[in-house]
Amino acid sequence: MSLAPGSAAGMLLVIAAVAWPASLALAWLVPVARRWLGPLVQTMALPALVLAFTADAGMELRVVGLYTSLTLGVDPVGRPFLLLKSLLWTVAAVHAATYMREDPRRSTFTGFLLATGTGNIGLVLAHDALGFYLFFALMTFAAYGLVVHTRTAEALRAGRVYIGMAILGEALLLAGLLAAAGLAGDVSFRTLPAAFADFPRPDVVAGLLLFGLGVKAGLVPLHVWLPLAHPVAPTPASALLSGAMIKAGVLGWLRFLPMGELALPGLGAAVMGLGVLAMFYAAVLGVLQSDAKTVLAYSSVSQMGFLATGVGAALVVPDAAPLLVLAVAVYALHHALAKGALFLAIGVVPARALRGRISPWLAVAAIPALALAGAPLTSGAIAKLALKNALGELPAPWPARVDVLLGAAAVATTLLMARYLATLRARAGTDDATEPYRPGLIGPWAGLVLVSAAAAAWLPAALAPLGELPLATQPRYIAAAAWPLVLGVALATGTILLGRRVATGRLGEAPAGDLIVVAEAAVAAARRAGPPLRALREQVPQTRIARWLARVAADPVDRTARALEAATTGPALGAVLCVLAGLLFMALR
Amino acid sequence: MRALYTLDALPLLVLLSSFVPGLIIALLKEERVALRIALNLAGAVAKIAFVGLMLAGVLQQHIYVWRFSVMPGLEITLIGDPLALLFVTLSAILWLITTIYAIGYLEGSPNRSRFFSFFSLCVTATAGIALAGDLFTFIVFYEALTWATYPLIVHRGTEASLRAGRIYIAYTVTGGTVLLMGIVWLYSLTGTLGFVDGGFVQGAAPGQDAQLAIIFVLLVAGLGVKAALVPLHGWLPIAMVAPAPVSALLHAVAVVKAGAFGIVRVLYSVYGVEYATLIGVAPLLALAAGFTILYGSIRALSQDDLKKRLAYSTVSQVSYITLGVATLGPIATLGGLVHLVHQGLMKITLFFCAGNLAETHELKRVSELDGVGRRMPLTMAAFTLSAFGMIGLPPTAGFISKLYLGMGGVQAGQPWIVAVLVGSSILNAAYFLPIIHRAWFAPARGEVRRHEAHWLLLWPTLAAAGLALAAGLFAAAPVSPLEVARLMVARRYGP
Repeated sequence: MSLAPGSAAGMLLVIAAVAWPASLALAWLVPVARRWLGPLVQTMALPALVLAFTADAGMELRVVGLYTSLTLGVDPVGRPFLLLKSLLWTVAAVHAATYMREDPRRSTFTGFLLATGTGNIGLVLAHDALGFYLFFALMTFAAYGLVVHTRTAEALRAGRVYIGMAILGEALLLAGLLAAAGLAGDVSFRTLPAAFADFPRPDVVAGLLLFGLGVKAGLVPLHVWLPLAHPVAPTPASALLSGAMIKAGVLGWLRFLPMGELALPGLGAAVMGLGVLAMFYAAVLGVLQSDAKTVLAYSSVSQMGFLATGVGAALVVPDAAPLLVLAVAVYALHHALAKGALFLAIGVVPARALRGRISPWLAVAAIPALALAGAPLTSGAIAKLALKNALGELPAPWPARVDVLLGAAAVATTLLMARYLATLRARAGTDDATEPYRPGLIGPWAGLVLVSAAAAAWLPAALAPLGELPLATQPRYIAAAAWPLVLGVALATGTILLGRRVATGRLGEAPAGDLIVVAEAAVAAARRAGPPLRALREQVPQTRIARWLARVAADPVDRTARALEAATTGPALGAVLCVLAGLLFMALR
Repeated sequence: MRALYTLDALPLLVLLSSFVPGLIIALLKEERVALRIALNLAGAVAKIAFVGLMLAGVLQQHIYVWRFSVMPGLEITLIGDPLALLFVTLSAILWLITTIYAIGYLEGSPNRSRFFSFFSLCVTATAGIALAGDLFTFIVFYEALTWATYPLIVHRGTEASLRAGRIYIAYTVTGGTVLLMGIVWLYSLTGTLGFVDGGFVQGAAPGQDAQLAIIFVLLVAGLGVKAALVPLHGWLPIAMVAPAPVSALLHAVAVVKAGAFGIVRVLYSVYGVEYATLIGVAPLLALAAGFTILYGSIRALSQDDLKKRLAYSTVSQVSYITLGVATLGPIATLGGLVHLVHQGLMKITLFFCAGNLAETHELKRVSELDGVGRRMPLTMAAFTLSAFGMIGLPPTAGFISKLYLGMGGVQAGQPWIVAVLVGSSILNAAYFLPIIHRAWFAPARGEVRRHEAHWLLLWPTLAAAGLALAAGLFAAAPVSPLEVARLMVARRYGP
């Protein structure tokens, strides 16, 4: 069945897709209603799921009077995102119902889950910038409750970093949004990208939007919150954060940026560079983690590198934008399903170790891992081929090197996935592992593994409105997809045989959050430096000349110390503001 | 029906609806609680009814004018244009809500007749400022407001409140004098003081740019005291020792807002933004407002006393109004005007919440608020909503203001305004989010049983929060603060 554009049933479904989770979230606010919500929570994303499967494209309606008037709908770019979000939210909500059953704060979790879901689904349907921003902010701030759910010191620290980075992102996004809205006068996604051509400095406006959204999408170096926040949340929430919510930033890129309308070579090249950097940088750091969830979080950063590269390329070569948008959409869909399944496995597989052999379970968990590594005939192979073909449209040096680049990145992904399976195995017998047999946990996980594994078959049909996907079944494509996998597995096996250390989870470790840890250390060092520097002044002997010398010499020392302290106690806001003001001035003068 | 809402004496009735009850209450004995409450509520409801009629008229393009000659050549003029209505509607609605809150807050405390009498006079003066049709009428009510507010600030009679009262009077009387000087000088130059959309000074005194620029500085400096424009803001954080309903009214409608509204009138109806930009004073004022926005927020960061943090937040937020109106172009003006209402709704909620916390649990410091969300969920829900509004998150009223201010700034070729707004958002997040985190996510110390504020305190809080949310959520509805402000802007710039 498919819904005709503009049909009444379609419009109702569009409204229901947002209104249903929103009503559940509002009902949750009423304490008496809370206990009746139980099973209904699992249906939160069902209207969106039905809409994703039935709406072909080109459906749009305006809700007049509300907010600044809201335009909602489904279009070819939004549909794959709606599909991935509604699928993941449905699976995660069902999984969470069992996973959280004995959690003392499960009710609080439900509330934040509903609010976050409303935002995450709503932003896919929003067809104007203000509507997108509305749902984006709802998702961002509600997800704080999911991140700090356990209230442990670790979770609170992750929460602080998460909210700090989120505010940085919101600020950049708001600046870009205000500039774009002021210059374009219209914020509908149908007209906004084209309006960039008339901006005095479109690259600055686009840059503000791109980096603002990049915080959510884990763009290096704005990814630092991600390896901290994704792992501390309860497992179903981790799956959502890393699978579905991270894609909100990517969708934002596709919506806001002048894809195919305007060439922004400088910005595009910078983003491509960051994307390529992320592929490898995050993979290296990920392999050095000993917690399965952190490994997956770094894998997400690394995978987002592929998407950033695609988006950057579309800014460099507008003519390639249609192919690149298709590639980014299919990649996002593939990654969301695989990553969701990988996260949910953490709540399932280690527990099986207590009941007998773990190997068959690990083998099932490895199916989405293979997809992520781009093994032949998986969804990953299709996504990578689409990206490779699209990047082939780039100017001279690129087409020749794309094969090697993506191949090397696939080797890195394979190693990361090997590491994931090893840590998963090492996790057997710890925390999650005490869970008794629970069909409510295994069912959703197995279902998602199945959907992800079958994706290779149904992806081309689902993406048809956006463009035609290349067929990845030809022998030469299979060979191209196979060699990185073989090399990666060989490397991983070699490491195991050499040291048996990968398997025991002691490969040598890097702190999760990489750059933020460096920043935190610098702040701590500066704080520590303040008092001793000031104490120096008091140790000066109390003669007149010494006092005079002390005044002349120690004052600068003292002042430096205070300045250091000041710079670290408040947010480095002054700097941020100056940079912002400067950028905006450049943008609009 | 048509005759009723085109009645030109409606502005006068709006004033009398709080003035008469105020006078009667002053004569009442302390024990006549029921009669006093009845008078208060009757006056507040009557005022809303009259304002509602005026609003209906203004929405149908009717402009009210009512004149009363004091002596030859000197007239009290009341007008009802969309700008006046924006402010008087806000004050009428918030007066009713605050009266109910004050009845609950002061239950059983001494000197209530005095309090409610001056409370009514304070609102009368505010309505007079809103409806003033020329600078003379404006300053009459402006000065009346100074003196009607003093007894409210020193109401508790403690050493701290008397000191706050002294500082308040020193600031505002000086400001009033400077304002009067400016007005007299202006009158000697132009021979007229009546408000005209788009300003009258350029036509009335052509070629006097230098003098007019100095007069502008005098007027704005005088008004800037009440509007808490840095460096004239010193009295405001001290005056927060007043009882919660007074602080709420002071920050949302009465004193601070009167100053801001005066600046709007001077820019909009005396000078005109174009002329003020031409002689270079409007951009200066916009810069001062931008500085105030950031300065107020930075000071708010380090305040542990909740009401003080809110007071510095007011310093910052009220200057959005000035910033918007001092910037050339219809969109920025719209943002400034609509923030006049939005800031009032959000800030009164926050002060009500602070009052609830202090009255119910003796909690006055931010550091004491751990886990308070569990004890007072509704109060803290209202606080959270309004704080999100202050940060400027959609779909709250604060976001709507910020959106138009920012777009207007860009369109006027002043992109630094966007940087100021974004910086202010970050700072607002930095001093409001820790409160929200403490309230909802930090483990409670000691008592965790649910114990909400008295219903007379709780309901007004929820009503104000509901209005603040509705102003943003339904901003595009046919009757919203945004639409009334749009009407005003359309009169000047065309639809």
